[in-house]
Amino acid sequence: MRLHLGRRLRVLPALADHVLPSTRSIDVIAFLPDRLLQTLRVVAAGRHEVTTVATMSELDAALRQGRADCAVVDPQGPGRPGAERLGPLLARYPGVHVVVYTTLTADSMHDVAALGVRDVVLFNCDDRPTYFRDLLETAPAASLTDDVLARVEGALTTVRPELRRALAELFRAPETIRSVDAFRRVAGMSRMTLGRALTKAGLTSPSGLLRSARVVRVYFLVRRGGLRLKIIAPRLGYSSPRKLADECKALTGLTPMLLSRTVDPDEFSALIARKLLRHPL
Amino acid sequence: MLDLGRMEQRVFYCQGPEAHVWSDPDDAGKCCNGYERAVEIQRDAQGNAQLAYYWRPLHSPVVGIAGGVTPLASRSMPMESPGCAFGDEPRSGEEGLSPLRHIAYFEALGASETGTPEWEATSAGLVVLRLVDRWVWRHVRERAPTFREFVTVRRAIARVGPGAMRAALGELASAVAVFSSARAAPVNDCLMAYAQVLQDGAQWSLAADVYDTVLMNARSASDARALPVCAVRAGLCLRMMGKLRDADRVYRFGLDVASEIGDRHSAMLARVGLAAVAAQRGELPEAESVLDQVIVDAVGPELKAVRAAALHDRGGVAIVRQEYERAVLLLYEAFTLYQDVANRDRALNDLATALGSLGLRGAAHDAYFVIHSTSHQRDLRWWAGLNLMRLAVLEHNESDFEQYRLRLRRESLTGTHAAHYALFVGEGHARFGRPDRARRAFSRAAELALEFGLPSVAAGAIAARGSSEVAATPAVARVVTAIRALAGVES
Repeated sequence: MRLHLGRRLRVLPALADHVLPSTRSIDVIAFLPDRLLQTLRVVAAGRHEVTTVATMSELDAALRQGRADCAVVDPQGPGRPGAERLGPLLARYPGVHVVVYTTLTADSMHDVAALGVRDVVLFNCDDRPTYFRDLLETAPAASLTDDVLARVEGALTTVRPELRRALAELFRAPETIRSVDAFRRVAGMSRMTLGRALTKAGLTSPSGLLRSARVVRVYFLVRRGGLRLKIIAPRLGYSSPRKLADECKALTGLTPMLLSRTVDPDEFSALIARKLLRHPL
Repeated sequence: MLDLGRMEQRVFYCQGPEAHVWSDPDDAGKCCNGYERAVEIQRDAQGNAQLAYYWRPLHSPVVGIAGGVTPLASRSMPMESPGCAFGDEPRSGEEGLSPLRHIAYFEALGASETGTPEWEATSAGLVVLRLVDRWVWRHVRERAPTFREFVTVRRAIARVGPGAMRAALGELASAVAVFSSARAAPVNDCLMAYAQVLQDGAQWSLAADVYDTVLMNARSASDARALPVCAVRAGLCLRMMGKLRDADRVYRFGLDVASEIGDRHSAMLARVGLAAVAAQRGELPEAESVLDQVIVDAVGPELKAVRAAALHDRGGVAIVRQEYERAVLLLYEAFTLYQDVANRDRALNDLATALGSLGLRGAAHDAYFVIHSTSHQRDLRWWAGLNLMRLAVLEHNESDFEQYRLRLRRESLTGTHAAHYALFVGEGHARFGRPDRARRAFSRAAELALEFGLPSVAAGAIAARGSSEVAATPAVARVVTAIRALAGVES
């Protein structure tokens, strides 16, 4: 009987997550032609805030306010600024995640390649509302992971480009890289070479990186999305919510619930960055 | 006597067997004496392209005008063969990794014209690859691709012209559709087939992107078995793009995985690839020792293709060393050992280059003619056509020159091909008494050489050199007879 009570007490923080509100609304700035804007409105309808801007100066002003989580832009949108004019403007606001939403034409493809953004949605091709919505809702997570990676930039500059790409991929999509084996394949290295490369760069072990990447995603989903652990756990490859909570506690000293409530994103990024380094400064 | 004295002051001979003539004693001292002649393109104050010649130590990698490595086979060779294992012309230096997936497709689409057959094929490829990406994520996102998405993809594929490309894309889309909710599917196999089609069409950056997708998507044990093969093919594409560092990295990955899973065939092919990278970097002794070792090790019918590949690349090194007779024999053995048509064509192309370099233009012509008429690899056909056009110039055959010039003009030649085309056309116009057109063509060649980092093209802007047919040694004569018979049968 005592044992039963103890177990209930241990799992309580994790189970209490469901009391948090559902997915938080995302503030989106849209710089799009009318046809694409209509689709974005359908995607965001009733869930997210869309602020429409019609000129480059309006876009600049909206970004300067600093409230936006994400900017959805078409380089061939109003006034056809192209990558040449849009690129420098967006570069001034690195905290805002940029999604390019455009049509499949030579000019727009040229702009996409020139902007080099990570997330691109093609009109009438992959702008299915559920997919697009997923993309918008994970945009703030991209900012968080970028912040974490920026804090270990010194170590990342010493590793080979393919390992750097694999690390970025791991933190941006920990759902897709679920094992050390998958990670070393993305990095294009054998397990031993990967271990040596990380040690040389002063980074933690591959399994340590995997754990950190997953906890970053857990923190984001619990804090911003308010998702329950039983939904998050299978997505991230945990066999149970308890495993997830245990790993989070082992890494940060706090359960996901407490972590999301008591630690702000800046502090959290610094904490994870320290865990990523083998010999923290 | 006085005249002779003046001559001796103005003309100097190098110490090499051919006793090249120089007006500068410093040039004569370096010629055939541990240095090789190199060229750079510079701009004058008005922005006009100018050629600047200099001497560089032999066998050292050379930084070209755009930071790439000068392709070895192009050095001092009468005929260019950049489509071969040693002939790729590098673009600018190694590029950083972009966070955007399939950026090669975005770049290719951005550079082409909407609605053309190439545009339709590339855009359909991009749409299918994005579908594959979403399919890979299906269990994570708990959303499989929808019917509407498949319809969009099918429409894009339907716009591609009939042929191998459409078939490969169709099979890839079908694999995703049929196995949309399954855990495992033959999608990576279909991606490999699609990449092979791109490779055959000389679309190196797109093929490398697809191989990269295969490497990224490989998660199961069965996928792991295909990884070394994929890595070796990706390495070739990257070498063709001039991305030697990336090629080296992917070959080493292939070697690691092949060693882990006991795939001796792929491991040896990866070693051949690494040797080829070393050769392209100018590290010839290292390349030779690795290739010689592979030739010795590759014994038995199951390693025939490996031995052929090693002989092929060893022949390439011999060409660079200007050991043309040896190159002919090595390449002919590779040609006879290869079982697949694509590699046979590449070996034949290199063999033609070696024969041409030896002065056996008739045999070289026959080999190029066979490739030009029969090869299914677009880039090889182009190179063969370009070399045939060059041979026509050297042979003072104006009608052949015009025929190949007009035929090639209709093709959508890419940067390196276009630069060589302009160069050879310039040489032809110069030879056939059209100096104005020659000047324009050379100017265009210099522009393209500057844009694509091709110092060898710039060097080739020197007037075409010609020499009469030479007598072949008995061993080479047997190869010549075989090539002529081949041309007789297949042309």
